[in-house]
Amino acid sequence: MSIVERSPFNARVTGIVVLAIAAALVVPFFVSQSNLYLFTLAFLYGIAALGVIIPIGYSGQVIIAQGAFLGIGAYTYVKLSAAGVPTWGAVVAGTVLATAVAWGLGRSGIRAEGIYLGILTIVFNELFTALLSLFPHFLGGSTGFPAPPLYLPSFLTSAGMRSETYYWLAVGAYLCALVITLRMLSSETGWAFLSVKDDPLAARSVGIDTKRYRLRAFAYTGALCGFAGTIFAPVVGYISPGSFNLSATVDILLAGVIGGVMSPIATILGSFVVVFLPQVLRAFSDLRLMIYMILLVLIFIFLPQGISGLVSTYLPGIRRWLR
Amino acid sequence: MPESELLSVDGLSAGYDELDVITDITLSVQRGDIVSILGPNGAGKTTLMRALIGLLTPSAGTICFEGVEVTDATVPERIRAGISLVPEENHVFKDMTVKENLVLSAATKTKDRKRERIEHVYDLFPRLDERRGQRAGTLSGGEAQMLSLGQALVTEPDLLLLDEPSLGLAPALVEQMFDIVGRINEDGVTVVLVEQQVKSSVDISDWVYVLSTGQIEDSGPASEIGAVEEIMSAYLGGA
Amino acid sequence: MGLSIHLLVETSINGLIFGSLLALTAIGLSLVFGVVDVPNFAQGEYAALAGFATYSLMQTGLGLLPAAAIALALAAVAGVATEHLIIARFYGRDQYMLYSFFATFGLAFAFEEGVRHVYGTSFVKIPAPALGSINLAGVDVNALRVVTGLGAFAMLLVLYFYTRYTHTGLSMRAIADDSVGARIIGLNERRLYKITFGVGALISGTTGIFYGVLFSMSPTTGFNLTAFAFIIVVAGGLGKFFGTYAVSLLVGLFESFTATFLGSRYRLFIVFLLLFVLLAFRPNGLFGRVAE
Repeated sequence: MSIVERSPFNARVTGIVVLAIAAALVVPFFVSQSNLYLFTLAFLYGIAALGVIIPIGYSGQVIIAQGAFLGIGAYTYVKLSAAGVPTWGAVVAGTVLATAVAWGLGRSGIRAEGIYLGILTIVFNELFTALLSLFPHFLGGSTGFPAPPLYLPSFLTSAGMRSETYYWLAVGAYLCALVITLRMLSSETGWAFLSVKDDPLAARSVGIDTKRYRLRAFAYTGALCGFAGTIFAPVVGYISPGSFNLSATVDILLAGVIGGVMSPIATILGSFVVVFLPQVLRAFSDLRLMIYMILLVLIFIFLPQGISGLVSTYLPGIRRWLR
Repeated sequence: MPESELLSVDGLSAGYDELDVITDITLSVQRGDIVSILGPNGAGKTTLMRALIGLLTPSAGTICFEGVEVTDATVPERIRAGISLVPEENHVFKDMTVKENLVLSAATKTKDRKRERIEHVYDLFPRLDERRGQRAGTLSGGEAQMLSLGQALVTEPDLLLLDEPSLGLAPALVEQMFDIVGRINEDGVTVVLVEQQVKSSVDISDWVYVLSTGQIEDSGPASEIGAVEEIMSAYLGGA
Repeated sequence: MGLSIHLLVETSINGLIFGSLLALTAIGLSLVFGVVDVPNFAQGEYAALAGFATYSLMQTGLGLLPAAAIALALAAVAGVATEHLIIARFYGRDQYMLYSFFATFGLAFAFEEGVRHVYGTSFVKIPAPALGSINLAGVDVNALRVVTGLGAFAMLLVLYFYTRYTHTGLSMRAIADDSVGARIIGLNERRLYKITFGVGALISGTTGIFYGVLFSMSPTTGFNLTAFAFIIVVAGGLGKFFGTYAVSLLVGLFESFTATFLGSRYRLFIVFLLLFVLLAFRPNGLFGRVAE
């Protein structure tokens, strides 16, 4: 059983964690603007990828609509900000709406199991992008909208929002989301999720309300992706259905799976691969997408536990933290 | 191995996910006998059956059939050798007709033998004969169980493994089931029967093993296994 | 727009023919999904493979039939290779379906890129003899279309008998029905998985060739066919032969009518909405087993 355990105070591991966070924070001083943008995206995708670990890794619900939830957060943020709602109100609203919609999706799919639930969520994702295209005036249609910037209280930023500020915001948001997720998964909820995934019948027989946990898994996914979406919008500066379609969902899923589908900490690793690998392969211009896909398939075959699996094989001490 | 010994199990341990459910099982089945393995829920009866047919790979021990070691043999190999299993849960093919179910199970037989064996099953179970073209999913519980037994018989087994054949059957059908098991045995098929229904099994058996929490606790000829109530209270908690 | 009987009949016939083509890929997917438990995102790519291969082989001077035969063999090999090299790696794993789904997704994408690399983004058509037109129900229909439609129907009949009267066909149905039961009666699942993939790819391959003859192919043809196949299989219910065929015809008709009469703007949304509602209330499809 891989319940995320709160590791006892371990100087070495804490040291590594502090170093990692410090490294993340100083990134803006060492990379170009365009690369910083990618780093920022990676952290945002990392948040969304937590919305893969929870349903698929822990709760056994096949949710393939993360891109749509990301989009709900993004579009809500944009529409509300543009209408004059204060930034953080828009962020909260976006997160809440995405959570609610995700919950609703879970509710409507309550009878569907396994991959059929997955297909339902795929259809929902497509429905979402199709819906966006249907309302060119209100929802921007297939061309989309520009996104108003995020406003942080002035005591945090003196010069307004710059790329660095967005980056640090993304890192901070990721760390918060990660901590919340880790706490949740190591609590009774996480244990209940695993029971539901392992044997729903047995879970029910010990009094676990499987329906409630299924819906919770959906809600968490919606919340995480929606939240990421509200920051995604101002970071990218422009939103259109193309950023939230099935392709985006698959990217988020890949980020979760490559890191290790049961490893919340490794989501950042997975999202780095998903964000940077296509860029790295740009050297092979013509066939880069093909190589990317083939590499991905090879990763699935040879690294079933994702990168975290690879790491825990060679560094068993790390295992407890990464599980 | 004595001529009359059909099945010999030595030190068998098996389970799931590296956890052994049954440990160090040693038993012997004589040709022509009916052997009952009694035990409460969770004793490991189904695990033992699955290991015998080859659905599970044992972690230790050996299985010998007709003098040949089959511990590593695959399921099709064991069926061809003459072992057949009627599982505890019903696994008939619900979207296929009774006839299709039987034809498919008889795959290892030649064309003529196939027809003979299927007719034999229809003789044994007239209800199935009536319902040849019916989808197996529409059969009643008892009929589905008959079909499951028919599927195993169609391969002309020398050793028939029955995992709780009376489970879920109405009392009248239970009696019928045990009658049929007796008849099958009279035809020359050795039967290993795993059951919770102590009295009915012991009545038709030649030898009895008692399985509890993964180990053989007791064994002996059916006539000597002691008062039925004794076994029941000692190991089965009054089942 | 004047609604003439002529237009209605023509649209219907085209829809039925298109539906028959789709049915082949859908049944291929149904087999692979039902027997091997893989929602094969690359199912339509076997069609594209066969279609493009036929085209290229004909460029070297080969006739339509020999080229098609080789192309179909290629498709079958690709199917078996998919199982052997990729899917087989995931057997017994946790989340088997999800991983195999992802792997087929990667495969489909990679193949599509490969096609784009070789053939560019232009449309490619398989040259076929011009057979003139036949008069059906008072409407002049392209004879080639009719022949293709009949060919597809014939293939479906062959498939039907294959799954009902051959040992392999019965075995496939058995595994799809109850995989444990299949093991108990001694079926060799590994071998049957390979056969299923091969047969499924072969059937989809025929769709590709028919498609390439009647319409034109582009790199996204594979994906389009996959999408249709999924919609049909999900709506028709896994493994239900006639259900799948019936739904395919419906989808073909729907596609044909909406293309002729309705703008594409609302079409996509309506299709997905219908599908969503269907999945929410009957997750196992229109004809599938009712979910508990």
